[in-house]
Amino acid sequence: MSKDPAEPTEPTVPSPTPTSEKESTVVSFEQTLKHTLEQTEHVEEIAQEDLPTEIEEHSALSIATNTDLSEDPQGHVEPALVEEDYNDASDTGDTIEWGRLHPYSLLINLLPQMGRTIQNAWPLLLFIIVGSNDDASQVVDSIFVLFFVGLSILRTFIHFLTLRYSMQDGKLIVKMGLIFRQARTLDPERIQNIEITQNLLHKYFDLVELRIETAGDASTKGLLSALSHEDAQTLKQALQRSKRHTSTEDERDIHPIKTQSWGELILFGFSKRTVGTILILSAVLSEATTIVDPQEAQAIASSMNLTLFTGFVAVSFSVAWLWSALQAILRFHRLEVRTAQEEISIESGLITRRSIEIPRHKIQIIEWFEPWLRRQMGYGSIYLETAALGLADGQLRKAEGVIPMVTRDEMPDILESIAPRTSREILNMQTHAPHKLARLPISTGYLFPYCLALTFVGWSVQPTMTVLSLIAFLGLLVVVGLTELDFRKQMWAITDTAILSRVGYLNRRTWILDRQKIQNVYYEQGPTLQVLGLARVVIDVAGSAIDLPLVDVQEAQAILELIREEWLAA
Amino acid sequence: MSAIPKTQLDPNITFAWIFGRLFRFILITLPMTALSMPLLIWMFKWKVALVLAGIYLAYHLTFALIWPVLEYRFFRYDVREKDFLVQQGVLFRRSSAIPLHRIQHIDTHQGPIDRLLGLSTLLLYTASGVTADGTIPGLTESDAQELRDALSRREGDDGV
Repeated sequence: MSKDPAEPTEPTVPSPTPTSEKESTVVSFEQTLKHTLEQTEHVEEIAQEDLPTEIEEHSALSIATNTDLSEDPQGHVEPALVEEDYNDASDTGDTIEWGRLHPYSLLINLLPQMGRTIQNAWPLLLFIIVGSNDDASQVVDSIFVLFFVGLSILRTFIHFLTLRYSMQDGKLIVKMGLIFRQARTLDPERIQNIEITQNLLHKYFDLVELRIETAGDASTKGLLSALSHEDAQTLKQALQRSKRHTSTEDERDIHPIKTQSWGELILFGFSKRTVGTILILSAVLSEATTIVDPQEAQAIASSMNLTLFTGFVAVSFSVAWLWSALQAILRFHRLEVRTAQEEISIESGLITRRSIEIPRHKIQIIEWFEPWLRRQMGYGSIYLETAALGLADGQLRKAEGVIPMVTRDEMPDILESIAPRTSREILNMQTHAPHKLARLPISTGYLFPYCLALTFVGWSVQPTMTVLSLIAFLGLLVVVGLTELDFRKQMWAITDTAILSRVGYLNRRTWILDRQKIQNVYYEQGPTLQVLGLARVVIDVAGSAIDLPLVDVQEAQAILELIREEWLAA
Repeated sequence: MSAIPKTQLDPNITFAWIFGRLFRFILITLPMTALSMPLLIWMFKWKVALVLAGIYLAYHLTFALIWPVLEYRFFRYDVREKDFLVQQGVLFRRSSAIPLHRIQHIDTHQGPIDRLLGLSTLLLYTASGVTADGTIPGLTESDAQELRDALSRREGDDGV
């Protein structure tokens, strides 16, 4: 929110508790900036000293009782007052003094910031680079490019200068922004997960990035982008303590539940890429060749025979598989899944190391995903979804926790340790099948790609009518077969504590959710389902939803009533 | 109480829907069809073009004049002890149960025609997503007030 500079603004370094808020001075925009710059100079002076001592002595997260505060030349917090506040705060939650990012965050954030600037202004930059042909325009272009680089540097600098965070009465407060100022208060109870990431630059400077996600908020990326290990741990532990209001050592009793070998990760990568990706890649490649060199493309097309085609497909598959295997290793190398009493922690990564902690009671849906190939290898993947809409590397991610390769034998034990309340019963529960007429709607899911493939074959290969009819007949058999297999494996179950639903044959998914997490439930019927007398039951949880296999309308109503029992008991 | 809700909307809502859709028909659909006639005649023979335009207009007129009556007939709701039940839709039917303790907030909307007829729409939100989980149009202002009070969030865990 922007503020008029003439208007009084909030103090940059407010006092840590409401009691001292009365004594805090109201400073103007200019004063704020001046103060910020002074503080930076102070930090930079310190940065010239020995690095380890600096982190230790001028930790951004000096706990309120730290004597460091009395040495603060700005003198914005009186030690006596802080001491008193600390004593008060011991009842309500932790207090951590106002801190800032590590000065090296300037270096660490510059590259991602430049990336974001380029991403936002890429059409203009492309125009500049492609369009330059004489000296005069090259000078203008260079000025433009310099402007964008300068803008990135300025943004990084402002981010570093203005970001402040603290914990007061067990709540995390983060303030940032120069012109558009923002102050965010995070209640530890509302935190969906805490993630600590360390990329190569972080590793070099021995720093980490701390991401904190709350429900429905995708704007927390790089919230605290460069902190020392100690500061990140102190803050994380303080948040966890505030959440539980207790901090006994027993609760941190950690149980390792799963690791992953290189072989498993390579298999994970192999079972990730599908035929669809290969088709898209081939289409893009052939289109590109046609545009760049039409004659060459014509020559390749005319000389294409079965051997060449098979070779091409084999190479495409190998490249795609190797690429996904490499990605799997980069992302999941040295994966360690552990459970403490209330949290599940997942740590992994070869170059960028991520460690995410998800409170057990924040998990909304557990998904057991078994694509066909992975299933044949005897594995499946577990995805843990919370209500947070996380952003990881610029992409929206649905599941915050991923365990890539879990064998069918390990699955019950792992589910048990992740969600003891829900999974204990449900895995041994007798399940229900969908209504027998559900075969018809299921088949439409396979009929669409079948028609698409048939059209493609008819149009590109142009076979004779007899061959096309034969292909159409064989394809139809495959559709019927897949429909039957899909139908037979679909199931649902409702216990006192949980709901289970399984759909799909090629990409089989099984969802388990805690009944306490249900936000609302409904059943819907389109015209076809109305004719068939079927209904689709959808269960909404925060940030996501699951479908049950198709059942008849009376059963759907009974399911609604059954789920309602939980609310009546609440 | 049974799982099939009983309470119907205020019958005046059909007029509000008919007026609103007729306005849109006259102001947008008719002129747009007239403007696209030359293109249709150029693409097909003029007889085919006329039939196509006729079907399009008939579809919109049905949606404006007949559909509201059906929508009114199929819309039912009930507030039960711990949840709110809504059943709606003609071709695409939907029955929802929203637990009262999960309702995050309630909005009241009133368009110009609604205001003339003294009607309001209630929108119920839970933490499940960005769109409203329950929409109850055609409530008289006193009914809307009453329903809002009945649905106002109860104590309890929000499940997030």
